[in-house]
Amino acid sequence: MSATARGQPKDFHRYHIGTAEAPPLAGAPGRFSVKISTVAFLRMAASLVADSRSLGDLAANFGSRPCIYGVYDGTFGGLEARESLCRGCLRCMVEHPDVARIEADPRYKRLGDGYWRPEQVLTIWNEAATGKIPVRGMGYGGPFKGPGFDNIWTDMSEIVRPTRDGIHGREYISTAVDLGSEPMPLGPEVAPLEPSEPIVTLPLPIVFRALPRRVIGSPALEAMAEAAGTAGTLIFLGVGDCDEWLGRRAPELVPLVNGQNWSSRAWPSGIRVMEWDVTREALLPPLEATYLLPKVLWSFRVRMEPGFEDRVVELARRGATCIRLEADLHGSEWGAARPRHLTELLRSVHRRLVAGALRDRVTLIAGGGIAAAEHVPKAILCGADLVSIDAAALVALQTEWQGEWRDPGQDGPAVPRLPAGWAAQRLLNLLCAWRDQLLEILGAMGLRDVRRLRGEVGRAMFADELEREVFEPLFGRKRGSGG
Amino acid sequence: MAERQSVAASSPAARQRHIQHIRRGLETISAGAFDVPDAVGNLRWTEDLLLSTWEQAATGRPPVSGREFRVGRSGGGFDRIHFRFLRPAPVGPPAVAAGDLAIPLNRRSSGPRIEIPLPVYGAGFSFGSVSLQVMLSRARAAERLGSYTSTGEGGYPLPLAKHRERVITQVATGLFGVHEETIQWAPILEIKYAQGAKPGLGGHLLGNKVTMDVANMRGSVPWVSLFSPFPFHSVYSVEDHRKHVDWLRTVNPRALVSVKVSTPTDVEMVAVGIYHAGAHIIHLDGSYGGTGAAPEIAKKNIAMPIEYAIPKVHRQLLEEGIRDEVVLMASGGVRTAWDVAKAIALGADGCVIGTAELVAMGCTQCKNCELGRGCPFGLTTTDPELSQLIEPDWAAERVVNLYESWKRQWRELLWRLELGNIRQLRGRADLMFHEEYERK
Repeated sequence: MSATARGQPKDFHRYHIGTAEAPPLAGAPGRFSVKISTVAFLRMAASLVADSRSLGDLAANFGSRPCIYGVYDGTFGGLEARESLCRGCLRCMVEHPDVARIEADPRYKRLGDGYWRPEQVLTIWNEAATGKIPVRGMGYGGPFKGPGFDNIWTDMSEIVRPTRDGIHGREYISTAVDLGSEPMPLGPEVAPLEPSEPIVTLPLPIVFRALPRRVIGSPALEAMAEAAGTAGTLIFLGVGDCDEWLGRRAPELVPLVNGQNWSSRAWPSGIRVMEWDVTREALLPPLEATYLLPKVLWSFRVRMEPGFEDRVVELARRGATCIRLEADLHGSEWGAARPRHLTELLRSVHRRLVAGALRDRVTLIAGGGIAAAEHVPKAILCGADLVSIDAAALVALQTEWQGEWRDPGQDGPAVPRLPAGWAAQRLLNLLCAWRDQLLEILGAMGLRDVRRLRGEVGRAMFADELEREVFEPLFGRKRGSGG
Repeated sequence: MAERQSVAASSPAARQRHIQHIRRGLETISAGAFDVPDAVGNLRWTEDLLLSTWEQAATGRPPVSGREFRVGRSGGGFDRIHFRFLRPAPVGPPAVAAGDLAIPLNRRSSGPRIEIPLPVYGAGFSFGSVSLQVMLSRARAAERLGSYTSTGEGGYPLPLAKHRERVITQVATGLFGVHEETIQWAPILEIKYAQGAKPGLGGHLLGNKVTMDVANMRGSVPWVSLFSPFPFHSVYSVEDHRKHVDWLRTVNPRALVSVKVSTPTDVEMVAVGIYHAGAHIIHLDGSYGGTGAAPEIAKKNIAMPIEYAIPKVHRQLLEEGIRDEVVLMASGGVRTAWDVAKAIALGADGCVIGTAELVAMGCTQCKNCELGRGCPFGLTTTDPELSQLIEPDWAAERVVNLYESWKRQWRELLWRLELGNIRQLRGRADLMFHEEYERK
């Protein structure tokens, strides 16, 4: 790469995701439901008429309505309330408690499931609609702490900030990550290593993990592939689900193959990454696969189930440089009597790899239960290099489901009819909003490279650990903590 | 259709009608008989806390509506910490002298001896994030209470100067409206490094709130968003921080210096650095604090809640042998008189209150401060019409009433804990228990 006189590469360009408005499809529930008592409304209107001493008064009284968002802007005001514009400020209810009543929309309250909270769904809808960081007034109004990701706060620095004002565009914070292992001068046995496998660099630490076509349908899959291509990231999907567009979308597709469906056919030359479905019987792909595709990086899919750490360590020892870890859609361990959350699973496997001096030789992609922008840095803090998103992408496409949906193989969601171009734009908007929020977190810490965040638990505050340190000396032992 | 104005500029009568309806509505809804819908409040500011705050702001007494006015439903922190009383609730007013709620704001051997008669003062709300009417309301309330309020970082509007003896001048990273004279007017200077609601991110005033007046005050361009940089460009180290404190003390040697920081992992080390730089007040702003506008991801996730930070800092200051030389004030999610008392029992000297004052004036916690014309109740807005919904005398009365109610609650708490004054409560976590913990 050549450089300009100012030291910047000639082909340098700042990474940017193009956003555009992609408003929700008609019929999406809002947060609030506006209830108007017709009798009380008419009584109020009559009193306004009675109080008006002139036509001017009357016009002023009827023209001045208690909503600045336009809910009552129609000619008949409260009798034709525009519920979708309601922001829940309660001004109308405070002014006229006998006339107006603002309630939470019952459809809104039913969004999501036991893991996905309605506000998470709505937040993703808004991010997908605008591509912007959600900004609101007043303080945080949710639970003090919770399980999984809600057990973690991220650090900040009062004065030390290498990036200075980076988040506002004046200095670059890198969100690029590498898939594969950097060449190492010496191996763990202090012997020169074989030339390393290919490295694939992505501009942001988020990839798509597509759920099966039979569950989510072709338009959703294609939208994800298009968004992945535009954003410069990848989409991991079953080989049978991408056969028909493998040729034209090879750079962004990562076909998942296994011992049954692997074939030594002519794979498109543009493929950068292939994925091997790790099973007890077939830990690694056949040797012919690596000979046939020498420039392709192999990723290994491992389900996070009891003992998965051993499998990851074994894969790393046998030369795997990219491993994609899958929890269920709620971020829980598969098949465990007391499932651990993704955060614990990641900390566990990260520690095992560090203990084996293997961590820098392998990239970990973590997925399952990534449901909000904040989950990206938190998963990375716990030990992932990057994350894969699954149900979140479907939520962005306004998919709704009934009941608990944990297993991606289950028929769960009802993907709506997706207008051409709309779906891919929604996903791009989501990626942009999440990346910008990652920049906020990195900026607050003073980090200028997301790669520095991996496993940096010193930059995280875990509620359990804080309480042990701070509350136990004050209040005694935590109930149920044993010992 | 063109947007209708909720308060028609051409009709003072219509505006007056809205004002009357809002005032009457706040009292009707908080009175107790109203069936509160589920859209009101959230887990931290529950519908009971909101309505009981309105009730206290109307009556000046602890609520009688039967609503829960002490804790929210966040499931942690102050909401799960309770006092272990030594006496049952008194039948009549408890016998604790009025002066016994006072705390000193200067524990060092030099500098002015400033004491406030209640263990709280007002947090910074900038001109821009709130209207001038709200600033004046808070200043008038502070004057009546003998406490203080802060300018926030948006400059010092001239009408506020009438109350200068009760106004803290904030010096924040943007240095908006900071002049020698506004530094010299202040009895207390507050250096703001960070804010709990958006730690490490600086301030952000969205363009639609940057009116001509706000832009003039800040020396900026109207209708263009303003970012306060983070951090101070002149402060890269503890040594720089000390020079910063020295600068302010040189310009105004009569003022106390408070340093406001957020709550990172090593907050106790930050606090010790603040002490050694010569500050009189360490002001910790926890992560769940209020704001006019902040990224949601920052409010929820960055930095630790104040309930953890206070004991960490208190303990460290004790270990360093400097606890009695510096005042520790806490903010960020302190909503009630009981939260204040718990913060003190965890180790703070007192608290800095922001959101609760706005709730007293009618805030519904709808979180639309940053949207369009700003707050529909005229609080967090610079819209010239909406801001007229707040009349400073009425709003000041509401704030004073809230604190009068809190004073009664603190006196009762002290009596039930068999303590003679609020200073004796500091660091007495042994008088509390946490629902999730058990002592051997």
